[in-house]
Amino acid sequence: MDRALTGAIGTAILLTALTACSASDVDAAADAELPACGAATGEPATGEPIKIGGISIDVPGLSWTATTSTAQAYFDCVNDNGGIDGRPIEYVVYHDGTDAAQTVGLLKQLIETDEVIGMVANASVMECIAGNGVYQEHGFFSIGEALPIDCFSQTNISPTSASSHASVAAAQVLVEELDVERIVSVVIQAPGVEQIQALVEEYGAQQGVEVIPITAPAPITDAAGLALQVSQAAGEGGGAVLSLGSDGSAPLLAAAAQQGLVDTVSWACVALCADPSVVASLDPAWNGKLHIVSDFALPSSEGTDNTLLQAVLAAYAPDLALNAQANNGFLGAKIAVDVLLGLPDEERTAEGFNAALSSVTGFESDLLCEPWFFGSGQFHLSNNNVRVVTPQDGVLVDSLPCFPMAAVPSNHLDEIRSAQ
Amino acid sequence: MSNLLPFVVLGIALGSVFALSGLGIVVLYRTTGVLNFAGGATGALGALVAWTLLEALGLNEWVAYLGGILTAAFLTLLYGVTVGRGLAHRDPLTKAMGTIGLLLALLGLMSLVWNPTVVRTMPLPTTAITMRIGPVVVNGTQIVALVLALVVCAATAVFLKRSKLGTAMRAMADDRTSTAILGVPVRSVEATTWFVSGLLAGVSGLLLSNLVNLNAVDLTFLVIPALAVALVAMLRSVWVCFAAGLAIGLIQSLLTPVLALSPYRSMTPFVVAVVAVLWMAWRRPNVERIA
Repeated sequence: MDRALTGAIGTAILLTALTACSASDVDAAADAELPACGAATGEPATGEPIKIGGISIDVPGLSWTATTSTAQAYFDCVNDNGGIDGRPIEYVVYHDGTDAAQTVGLLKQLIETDEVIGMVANASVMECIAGNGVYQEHGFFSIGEALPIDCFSQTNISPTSASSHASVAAAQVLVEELDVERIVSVVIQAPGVEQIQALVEEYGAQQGVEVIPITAPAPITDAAGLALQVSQAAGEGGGAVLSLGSDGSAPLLAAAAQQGLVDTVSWACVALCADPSVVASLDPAWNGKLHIVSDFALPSSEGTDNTLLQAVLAAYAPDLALNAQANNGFLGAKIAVDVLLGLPDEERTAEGFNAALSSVTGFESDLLCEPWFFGSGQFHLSNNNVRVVTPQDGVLVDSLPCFPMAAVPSNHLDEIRSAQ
Repeated sequence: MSNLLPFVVLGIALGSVFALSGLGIVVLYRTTGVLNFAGGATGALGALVAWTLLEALGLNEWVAYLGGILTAAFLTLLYGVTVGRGLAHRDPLTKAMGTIGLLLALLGLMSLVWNPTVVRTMPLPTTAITMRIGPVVVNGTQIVALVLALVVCAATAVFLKRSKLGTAMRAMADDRTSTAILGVPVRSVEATTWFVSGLLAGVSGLLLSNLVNLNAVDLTFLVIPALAVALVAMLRSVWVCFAAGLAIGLIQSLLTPVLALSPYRSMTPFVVAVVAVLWMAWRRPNVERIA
């Protein structure tokens, strides 16, 4: 028995270790050529560091560290290319969870103890819910990826993504392009989903289209049942807006394909359906049938920033996937670098950086449909022009060009656009 | 009211896997007195190991599946002969708490090794086999789940009643010390039980990775419906376990098309377990104290 036990222990450890070493989700890049970032001098920066802060959530089941990791990769590239007039950027990142007090503590540590001059490329749930007060107190402004919908209604936080607001654009596609008669709006049970449902319901009310809200319990244990429920509720001539995370979309779409429901309903989805791992898992039945609203350009696009992002990831973070997190991290870091390069050295302080960051207008990037701006007032939704992509044999292709998201009361786009 | 037949079929399939998972918990509890909260986590680890063997190492799919199942089995065995053995003489609550520690450790390990934001899929070969039953399409994995649950329940019932090892397992549940005194190799019996429980967890993990999602957190906490099933079976009856699993799966699925109740259908295991426990308490005969 002892020998058998030893064998058992050894086998378990060996198998787990072997798979742990092999668990990799992105192929490593082979190209070692230095991408041209920031000042693009090709010389490493060696001066006094400029400290920038970042915070991202990292708990079992919800890890958004790829956003800050991509920003780090871009900063590393900038530092290898002369930094900011010879000064490297030191990116100080903390990971938080779902405890608001912890997040507030970390933000204060970054600002007061670590003395960062700005906060960029953040991807934290609690930062948006509890961090605005800290920023107001210290005169800081933050840019990053919007995880909860609260991120769009904070005076000192301006997201680089459209996030859950894209559900309005998804409904637009169904009504304006596909002439659906009713919309089923599907969300996963989580705090704030009522606000997402409200967006679609308000748009439906504007267009005279019935909206049937469905809230699926998390996790989705009965994807086939949910797919059938959506199909039955939408009925003939109906459409469905899926505002689910990538781990909710994949099983639902697989089940819908297996149940033969792809053609019974018109399907639209928000950007998380565009995750490469979701797209790769899609049945060919979805070719051209799933309309995904995307905040950002496709990885296959040939724009300068898109090419640069892929080169940065290949050189500095080959394990990171090219997805929405990477786009947001890159944009946040690039905006910060452009701001810093535009400031005289004596103004590269917390006061100077935040004043400049909050005044950003017309930041152009081929990743975006329209130039990004920080905006003023309480509501921020600068990335409010989106495009539609669709799967085709395991990859995404463009389906509809950029169009402005519809203004409904809850997204305050009328107010945001008139202030711009 | 919308057509309910599709939801009946789907509910039976999901309930079968709940029954299979619950059976692993019942068998282990009957022998060792341990209520194993980590069954879902070990199943999840097994499924992720199978995925890695298949995708990252490019092994043959059946070798990968076997590797995953055996990982779950050996890991459960490892826990059983180390921590489990050390806690063998402690009260049931302490023994159960130990398995929660294992759950948390495995959850952290899986989140560390397998990036939780990446969507993974591992369609079993049986998932591609489909047949239409009325308005619903059923895949082979769902059928395998039902057949397997039935076969394993029947085999377990016969094994526990008729075999020497099964009798030893039942004796240990009643009185471990006396069983040892009578010459039963309790350590070997315990180890075998832990291993079998781990095998069932591994198989359940593979099936659930197809029926639900290949996600560490989702699979780990699917132990909750399994616990509810085991509770309804009073941690004793194999056949009640099977029936309870089907019932919970059916009820949960039938609530799906009812829009008003649909968001709350994940409460079904809790509600069924509470109702069952209250009903059993009401039916228990009064015990008279003799001074």
